[in-house]
Amino acid sequence: MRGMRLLYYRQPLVVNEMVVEALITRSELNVNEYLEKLSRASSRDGCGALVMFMGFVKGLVGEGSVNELIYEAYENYALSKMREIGEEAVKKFGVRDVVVVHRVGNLRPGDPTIYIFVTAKSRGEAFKAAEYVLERVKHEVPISKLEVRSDGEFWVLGDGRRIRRPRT
Amino acid sequence: MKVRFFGILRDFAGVESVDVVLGGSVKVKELLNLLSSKLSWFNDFLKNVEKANISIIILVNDHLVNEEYLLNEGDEVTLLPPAAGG
Repeated sequence: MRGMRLLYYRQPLVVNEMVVEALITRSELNVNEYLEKLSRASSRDGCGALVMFMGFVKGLVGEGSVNELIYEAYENYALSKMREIGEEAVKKFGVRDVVVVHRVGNLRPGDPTIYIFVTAKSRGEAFKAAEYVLERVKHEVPISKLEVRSDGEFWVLGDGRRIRRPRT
Repeated sequence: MKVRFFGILRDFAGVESVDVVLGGSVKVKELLNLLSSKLSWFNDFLKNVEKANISIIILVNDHLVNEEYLLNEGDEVTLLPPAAGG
């Protein structure tokens, strides 16, 4: 593990010396710490690529300006699903590490919402794996999103469809 | 047995959860029909879900199941809307 354990608050899963980890947190991540630890550890296994994706809250949707996006996770199942997706990305693309971190709570425009880190020997598989993980997380992990806008409150469904909140 | 609601489904239900006492084992779909016939708000809940064209994801004790799954007393059923992460 070579010190990787320090990155996580849960027991990391080790797959042939690779790290697959999922985290749900209310806090913003120290991205630089993740980048440095993952790149240093993976370089010793011949990796030379790290792809990081970060999603953040939109400040404008249609005609409505967004005040905040309230994220809620059904945590136990969400974490197990995120780990499963990470493990499948490792098998499918042969990447070394996959770390998925999703935030919950009340987030404001510009606040990070999701971070995905993938290390690999080269950029091709790292980019593909990061996109694969993102798409699956968006469509399979039980996370709910309530958009609080200038023109009302809307539940955001997985396909981007918005439903005005009942009883508001 | 407890039935929990998550996200928009909690808004539609108007409650976080409902406790149910079963006489024996029933399938998930039988439980939903039973609740719909006994509780007017649950009937309204299902109508709202259908009207909004939302597919419900069913977990029992945090495991994904379908409507044919056989429930036992003490199981915890969670009804989730489609995922909306990212």
